[in-house]
Amino acid sequence: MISLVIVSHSAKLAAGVHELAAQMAGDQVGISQAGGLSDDGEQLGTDAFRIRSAIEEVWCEDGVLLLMDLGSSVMSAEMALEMLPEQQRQNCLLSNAPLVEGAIVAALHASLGEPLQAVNAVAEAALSTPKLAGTG
Amino acid sequence: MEIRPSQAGPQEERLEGKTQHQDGGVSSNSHAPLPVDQPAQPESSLQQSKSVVVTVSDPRGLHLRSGRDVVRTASQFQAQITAANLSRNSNAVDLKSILQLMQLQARQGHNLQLAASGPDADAAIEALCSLF
Repeated sequence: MISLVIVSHSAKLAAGVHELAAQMAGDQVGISQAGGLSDDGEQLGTDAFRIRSAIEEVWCEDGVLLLMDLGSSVMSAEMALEMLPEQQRQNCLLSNAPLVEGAIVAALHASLGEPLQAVNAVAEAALSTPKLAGTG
Repeated sequence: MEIRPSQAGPQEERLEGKTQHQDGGVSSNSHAPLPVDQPAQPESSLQQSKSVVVTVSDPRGLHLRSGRDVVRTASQFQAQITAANLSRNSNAVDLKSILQLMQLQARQGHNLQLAASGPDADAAIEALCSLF
């Protein structure tokens, strides 16, 4: 079963998305978060070292899907992957999915035991799924 | 919960045709790929088609957590399963997608038409009915 890492500029946002994802996944899916520049949530920003730690916290052979908010979250996540040993890095995947929808969908499908690429595919489908019916 | 058998007979093979027939010809949702003709698949007595209308009983409507349980249950079956919100005249969406399920914007009292097609369609509908 794959694991998820939530990456955000805001520790509070990361914690909130983590909470939502955990409710969708139940106890079975490893989920960690890397939000902000400090644990108290005071400093906004992204930090590759914090992201690397979050990956290491939940890393498993089935894979780790990283869900980011935007901008430097993506760059910091890329840097975090570069810091990992090759053997760990190859099981990690950066998702193009929007953070909230992506985390909810990924958590649910991860809990169904689906493989990394499949979970990412349904999460990224959120990009083309409007929340208001009959739009888009 | 209130369950009424729909008018759709078991002889109807395609959910898309059924939905259009019942809802006065709504167009299919591009985000909800509905079953299409599968020439490679021979006619089989194992193919079932079942449709019911359920009424949402939860005062908060069909929300994320209850939607999660619907998707989990639906995912246990091979059948293709769709739902349309009759109270909103919505298109049919894939019941195995939490995002599409949320698109139904189903409030308490709304009528949803569930339709399943596949070898375990009957069991799928039976399992799902109790969740609304």
